[in-house]
Amino acid sequence: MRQLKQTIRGILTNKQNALFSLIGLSIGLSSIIVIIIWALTHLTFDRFHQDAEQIYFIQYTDTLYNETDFVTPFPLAKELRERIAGMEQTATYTYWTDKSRIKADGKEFFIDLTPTEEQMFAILNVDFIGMANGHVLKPTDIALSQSLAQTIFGTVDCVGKTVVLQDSIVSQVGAVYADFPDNSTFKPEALCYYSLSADEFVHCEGWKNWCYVTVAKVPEGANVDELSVQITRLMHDEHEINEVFSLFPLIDYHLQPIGEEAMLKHLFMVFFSGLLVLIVSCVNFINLQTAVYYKRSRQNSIKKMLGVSPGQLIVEVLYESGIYILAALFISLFISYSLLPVISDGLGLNVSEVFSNGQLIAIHGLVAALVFVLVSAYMVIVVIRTINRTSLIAGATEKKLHKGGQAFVVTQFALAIFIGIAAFSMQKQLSFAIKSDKGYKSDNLMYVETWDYPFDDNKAAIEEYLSQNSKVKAFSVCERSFNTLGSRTTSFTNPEWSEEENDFYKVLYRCDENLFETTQIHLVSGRSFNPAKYNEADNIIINETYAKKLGGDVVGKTLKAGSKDCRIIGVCKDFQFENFYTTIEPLVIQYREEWICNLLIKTTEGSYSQVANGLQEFMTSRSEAPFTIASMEGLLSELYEEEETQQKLLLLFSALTIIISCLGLFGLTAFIIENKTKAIGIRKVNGATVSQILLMLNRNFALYVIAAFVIACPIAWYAVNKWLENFAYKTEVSWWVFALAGLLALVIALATVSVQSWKAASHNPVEALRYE
Amino acid sequence: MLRTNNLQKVFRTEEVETTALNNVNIHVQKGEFVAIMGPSGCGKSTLLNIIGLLDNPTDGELFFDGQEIASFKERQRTNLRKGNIGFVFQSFNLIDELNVFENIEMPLVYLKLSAKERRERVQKVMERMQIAHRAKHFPQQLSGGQQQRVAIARAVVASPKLILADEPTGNLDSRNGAEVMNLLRQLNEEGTTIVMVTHSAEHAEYAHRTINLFDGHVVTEQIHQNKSFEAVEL
Repeated sequence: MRQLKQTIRGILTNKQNALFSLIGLSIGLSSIIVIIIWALTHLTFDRFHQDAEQIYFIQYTDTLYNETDFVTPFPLAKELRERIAGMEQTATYTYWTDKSRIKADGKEFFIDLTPTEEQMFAILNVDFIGMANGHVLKPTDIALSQSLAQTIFGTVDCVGKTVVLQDSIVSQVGAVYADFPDNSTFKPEALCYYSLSADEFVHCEGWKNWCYVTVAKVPEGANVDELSVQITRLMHDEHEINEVFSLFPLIDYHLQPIGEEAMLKHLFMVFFSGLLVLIVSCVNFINLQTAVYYKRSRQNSIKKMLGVSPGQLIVEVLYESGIYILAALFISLFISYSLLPVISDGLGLNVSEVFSNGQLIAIHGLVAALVFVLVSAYMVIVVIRTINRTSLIAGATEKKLHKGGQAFVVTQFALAIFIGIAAFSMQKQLSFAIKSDKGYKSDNLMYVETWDYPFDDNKAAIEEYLSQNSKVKAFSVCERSFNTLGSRTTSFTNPEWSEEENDFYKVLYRCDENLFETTQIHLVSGRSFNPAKYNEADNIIINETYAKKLGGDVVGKTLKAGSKDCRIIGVCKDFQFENFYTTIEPLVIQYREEWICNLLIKTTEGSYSQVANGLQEFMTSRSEAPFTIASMEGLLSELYEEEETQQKLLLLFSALTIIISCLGLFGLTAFIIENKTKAIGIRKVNGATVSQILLMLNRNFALYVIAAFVIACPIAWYAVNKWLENFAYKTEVSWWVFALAGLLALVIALATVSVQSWKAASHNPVEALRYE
Repeated sequence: MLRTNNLQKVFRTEEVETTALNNVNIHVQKGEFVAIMGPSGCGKSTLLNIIGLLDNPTDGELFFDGQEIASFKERQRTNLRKGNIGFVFQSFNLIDELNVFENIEMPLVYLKLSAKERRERVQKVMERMQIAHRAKHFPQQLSGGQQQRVAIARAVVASPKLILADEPTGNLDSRNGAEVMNLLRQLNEEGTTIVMVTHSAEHAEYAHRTINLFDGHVVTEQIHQNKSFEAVEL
């Protein structure tokens, strides 16, 4: 108790230092804890299923391109159940569902109905809260999630009620299940069996069509590699399928979706930058505490004279660090609890559903304990190293910022500058990706996706409506928007080439004659579609990339698509239809009037929202069915959403690092200036002006920042280049980004230092020299 | 050379107001050596600091070479101090990180003299103070007497018109003290005006006259008859 009281009193003698130490430490702790919560939330994805580690997706890798995907043929699950021991629990389900129209209680809704097989319920945890006929869902029943039941019937008590799907399929609610938790990959709104209506739900049957997902739960301890070999062999021997099959763990899916950019990288990077903030804050804490310790060296000498043992000095230091970390722990608990809604929002799931209070507090406690061990270990070393140096005479003369302190300040600023450069470079690449020339004009461009909207029935009316709208410059009925363009095909081959030469993917896009006017894509040669004048049915336009591949002058040539001959009537300039990670692929644009039901609309400057609102109203007045209107630029920036969060986080971390570093700097300057007060007084008496004193005091700090800059630059240069290598289309690494980050750090550091050195320099020297 | 008119200095803290100097009128002639004596806390050092332009008076006038300087700004005071006034302190006030040469050189740096000229002048004054052999040493490596000689060297290196010494012998033994007083007398004989605060009546004897302060007032003045400074007047 006495020890505690004296320690707290000791902390409070240097109030400013105590405050800075605490703020720095709390920021560091909170950042890393928030990030740990965030990371753990990602890592716990799908682990709530019983025996989650035994659940797998069936994926394949094609032998030609080495591309991996997890779409499978419809009969695969049944075949595996029957033919391979250990795969009895295998089920097919539809991953990309269409919106289904459902009528119940005289109302109509559009829902995501996921058709599957009955084995699915043995594989994944579906938590039924209401169920007819014991424990089996009848082949003609559908199961609703709790929230959907609420929406449709206003109650979860709706088992047995009749619903009508797609106007003709009559079904009954056979079960209601609890909503899947937020950290689940599998989150169906409603479930049914394929047997409810094979016509409606099994679009592509047979072994040749791959558009379903197959999941399996294997027995505990099953040899997964062996099972994969068996599947591959079975497919090869009996179904002439030569792809290599394998099992992909469900619990890894969220972090590494098959065939997609890995989430893990993103996770690692954010975690790493959070760790840097923690390191900086620990360094800051150690630095300030060491300074206080040195300042107390006279006091410690007196204690030593009075017989204190080294052990007692160590205990005192441990007490002090302990008190700080305990206080920081409480503050960071407060911070993270107030940030939980924000994290939940950013993650799109409820964090408090994933972690209990006890778990959250345990995370805080563990991190704080770790920080305590690190920080106090250093402080103990400081005590041991100085224990024999403390004599009464040497006591008061610890003049300069100790060597460790210099290194710490340099490290802190190097990290801050590094993170700053990374954030600025990322910002530059992202704005390049969104703003740069994509080969078409995305401004004032609107994309209407019609989903289940009866577009064909209303096509003429909508077209008339748009033609009469003076705010609409042009519009085109087309297949998809340019953020993800169409399907790939090996068709449209050059008849003069061999089969091998022709074996590469082309992107296929279908649209009407107005696409080029609407998107302002330029034609390099040939003409655009003109159905009024020609029969365009077998005519195509290709992009420059494909034209170059075909040998340049290709207008008038024909390509083979199946048995059809397609004539190239034009070549358009290359334009971006994927993100900037990928290079532009060969593209075939085909003229089509039917079965394409989306719209691209170019509005006049500044009338985007007016047109959007008008169209929304017009289309809704003709049908209640869902459709979406989105701006092209919005869709494009969604492509880089992940990078954008990353960049924002980096900027935040950079700011935090700088703030913490400045706190440390501010505290340290106070000590240094305290030590220099006399020297400043003497110099002023001897004719130094305020500016000369300022120069003297600030020069060292400027040197620290410059050293930090020199260290950070090459590392940042390497890291940024490495990151940019991911992009097929990228900006240059610019010198000004480095200069800006360095200059900012310098200005901020000098401003921090100057506040105090100005005070010291303009101080009356008499006061400094009075009490000698 | 130096004249004060009803000089007053009041120190205020939150609770107390202390009058350190009250209507002090003194006059120091060019070339004079004046000692200021008095008990602790009577305002000697405050007076010296005000005369040395380190501190502002609360009220009253201060004339240096006929110019009223009590109302000078910080920058003006610094400029006037540079090269005109040298200081010697009881506790020497040398900068620990600078060696003997660099400590003495400091005022010349702020006067922006060339490196060559600085070297010559420092060398000359070090020889005169008999510390040239210690040029590369740091203050902690010197005896008290040597440190004070360095401080005096620093005070005179810029050839100031006025030297202000605040108990220059206070931290020294009698032999070193006498040595320092002899140095000051020599400087005075060469024409430098000196104002010195001291506790030692013996050392006050080196001056032409002694001003006695008590509680912020000038109480008596005593002209040392054995000294031959002419034209002493109040």
